[in-house]
Amino acid sequence: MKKLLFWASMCALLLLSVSASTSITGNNLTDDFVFGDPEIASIGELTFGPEGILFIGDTKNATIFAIDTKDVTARDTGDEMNIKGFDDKVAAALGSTVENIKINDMVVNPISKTIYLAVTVTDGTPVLLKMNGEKLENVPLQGVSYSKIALQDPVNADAIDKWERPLRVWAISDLKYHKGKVLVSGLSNKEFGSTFRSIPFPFTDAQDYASLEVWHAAHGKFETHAPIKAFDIINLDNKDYLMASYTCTPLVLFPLDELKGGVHTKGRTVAELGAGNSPVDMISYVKEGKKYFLMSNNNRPVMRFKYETIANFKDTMTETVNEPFVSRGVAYDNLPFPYVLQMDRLDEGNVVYIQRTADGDMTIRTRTTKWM
Amino acid sequence: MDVIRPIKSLKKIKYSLVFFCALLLSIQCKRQKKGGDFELSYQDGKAVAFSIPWEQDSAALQVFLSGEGETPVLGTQTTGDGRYTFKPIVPFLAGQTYELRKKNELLATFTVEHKRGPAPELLAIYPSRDTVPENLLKIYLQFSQPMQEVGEVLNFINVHDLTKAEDVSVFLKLESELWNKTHDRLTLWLDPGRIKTDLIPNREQGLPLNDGHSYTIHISDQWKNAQGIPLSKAYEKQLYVVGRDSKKPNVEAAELEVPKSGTKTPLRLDFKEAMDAVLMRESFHLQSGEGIKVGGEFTVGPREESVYFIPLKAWKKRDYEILIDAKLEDLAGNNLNNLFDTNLEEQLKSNPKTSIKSRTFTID
Repeated sequence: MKKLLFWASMCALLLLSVSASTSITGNNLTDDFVFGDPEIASIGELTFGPEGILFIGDTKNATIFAIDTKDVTARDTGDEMNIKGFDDKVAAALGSTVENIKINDMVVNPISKTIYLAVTVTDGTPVLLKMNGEKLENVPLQGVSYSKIALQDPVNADAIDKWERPLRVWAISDLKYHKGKVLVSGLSNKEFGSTFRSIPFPFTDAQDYASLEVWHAAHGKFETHAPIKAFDIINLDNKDYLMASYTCTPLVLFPLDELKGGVHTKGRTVAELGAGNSPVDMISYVKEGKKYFLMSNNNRPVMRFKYETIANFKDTMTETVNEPFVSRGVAYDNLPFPYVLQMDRLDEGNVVYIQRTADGDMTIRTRTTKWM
Repeated sequence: MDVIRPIKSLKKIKYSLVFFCALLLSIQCKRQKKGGDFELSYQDGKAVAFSIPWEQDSAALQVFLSGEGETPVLGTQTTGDGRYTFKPIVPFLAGQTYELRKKNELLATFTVEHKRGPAPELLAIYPSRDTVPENLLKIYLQFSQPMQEVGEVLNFINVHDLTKAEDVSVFLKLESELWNKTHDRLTLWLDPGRIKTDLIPNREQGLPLNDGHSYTIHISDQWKNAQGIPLSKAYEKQLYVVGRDSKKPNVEAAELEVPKSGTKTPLRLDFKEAMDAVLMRESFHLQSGEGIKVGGEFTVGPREESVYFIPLKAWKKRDYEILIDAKLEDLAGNNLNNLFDTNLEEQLKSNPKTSIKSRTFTID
C-alpha cells in the first residue's frame, strides 16, 4: 500500500510539474516563432519589445518581423560612446564607403543596453548591426527564430473585395511596442494617406486600423490624412496617450484606449512646433524625480518637454498661427544638440544619439540625462 | 578587371590573376572566377567571397578596406581543404580595393571590377501630359532598373521656374522615400501642406506650382542604379501650370464607348481629364450583370485620361458592370469620393461613402 501511495504521489507530482511547465511554455511570447530565414527585404524602423524581441519594419515586404535576438543578459548601464567618423566606421565594416550606406534607425535593447543599427547599402541589402563596446558586430538575419505579420490594407465593410487589387505599399514611418501591442504608423506610396495600426503580439490575424484626426491650428479644418512622422506613448495622469508628431510640426495627443478599429478618433493638438521641420525620434526619461520627453528633429535642435507641462496643458490649439516659423502651445526648451539623426535612451541615466556635427562629421555619443 | 597584387611578405603564395568579368557578370547564377590560386566568387553578378590557399592558423586574418586602419570588414571566415575563405556580410563593392592582413602584416590586395551592365534609363515621368493644374499632387518617375537605395532623391532632381527664372523647391522631403517594392518607381509629392488652403506651409510658402508659370524638371545623370551605374543621360520635362482643379472625377459623366456584340473591340471609358497614372492601372474591374468576372485586361489610354478593356472572348449581348476603386484620383488628388482640399466636417456630413463606384452598360 505504501508503495502504491508513493507511486501515486510521484505520478501526481510529475503531472503537476508537466502541467506547470506547459502553462509557462503556453504563455511564452516566442511559442509561435519558427526557425529559419525570414527573408527580410528591407529594414526601415526598429523597436524592442520584451524578452529581447526585436521588431523590424520591412517596408518592401509591408511586413513587421519579430526576431528573437536572445540578447537577454541584463545590464544596468550601456557602454559609453564617443566615436567620430561613425558613418566611415559603419561603411568600413561593410566593406563600403559612406556614400553607399545609410543608417536607417538605431535602438537600444532595454535589457542588455546593447545598441542596434539598421543599415542599408546602395543595392538595397538590409543589414542589422550591434555595438559591442566600440566594435561593430553583425546580427545575422538568417537562421533566426522569428514570427511575422503582413500589413494588410484596411478593408471597408461595404467593399466589394472579391476582385484582386494590388496591396498598397506602406512606408513604415515609426514603430513602437507597448503593453502587448505593436504600434505602426505608415505612409502610402500611392494615395496621400496615412494609417496607424495596433497589432496584438504575439501576432494573430488581427490588426486594428485607427482613423486619426488632427486639428491643424490656423487651418480651421480637421485632417485625417496627415502622415504621422514619429510617435511615442506617454502616460499622463495615469492614462496612456499616443503622442504623435507630424511633418510641419503639430504635436498631437490621442488617448490610447480610444484607438480602436473603425473608430474615428480626434486628437488634441497641444503644440505647433514650427514649419519647415520634421520630427525624427521621441524618447522619455526621468531626472530628479521628474519625467521629461525629448524630440529630435531634422531641422531644429532636440526639444525637451516636461511631462507636467504637457499634462497641465488642457487646451486644444485652434488659434491661428500667423507668424512664420513660430511655435505655439506647450512650452519646451531647445537643447544645444542640432542635427541629431538618431536618438534612444541608453539606460536609466544616459541617452545615446547619432549627430551630424557642424564640421560635417557624424558622431555617435552617449550623454548623461543630467545635462539634457 | 579585378586586380590582385602579390605581396613580398607572403612568398609561398604566388598570384597571377586574370579575370574575365564582363561575360560572367551577365549570368545570374553562381560562378567563380579563378586566377592562379586566388578565387573571387560571384553570385548574381556580385562579388560575395574570396579565398586563398592557406595552411596556417587563420584566427588573425582580417579583411580591410584599403587604407583602413581600425575597422575590419564584417563577414564569416572558414578554412578547409587548404584554403581560407572570407565571405563579407554584404557583397564586395565594385571598384573598391581591399586588403587581407594578418595583424599588421599586409598579405594581399585586390580590387573588385566595376560592373558593365546596361545603364539605367528613366522610362517615364507621370503625368505624361505637360499641362497640369496648380494643385498637382504628385509625380511618378519610372526607371528601367532598380535604383540606388541610399542618398536623397531630391539631390538628383532640380525644378526651375522659367517664369520667375529661379530654382524652386516643390517636393515634400520624406525620410522614408516612397518607392515601389522593386525600387524602380518613385512617388514624389508636391508638398501637400502647401496645397491645402490655409495650412501653415500654405500660408508661409504658398502653392508649390503657380497658375500661369512654366517649369522645367531636370533629372540628373548622376542618379545611379543599385549597382552604381549612373543614368545613361540627364532628362527634362516641361510643365505648364493652369488653374486649380476643384472637381472630383465623375464616373457617371465619363464617356463610355460601348463595343458591339460578337466583336473583341475594346471598351473605352474616358474621364476627359488626366488621372493618376499608377492608380489607373489597378482601379478597374469588369463583371457581367450577374457579378461574374469578365476575362480580359484594362490598359491605360493616352495621357492617362482613359482606360481600355480588351476582352479575351467576343462581347456577348448582356448587361455589364465596370467596378472602379473609389480611391482613384485625378492629378490634384481628388478621388471619386472626396476633394483633396476639403473641410472634413463638411465632408462627413455630405455624401455617403462607398469604396467602389460602378458604371453599368448593356450590349444589345
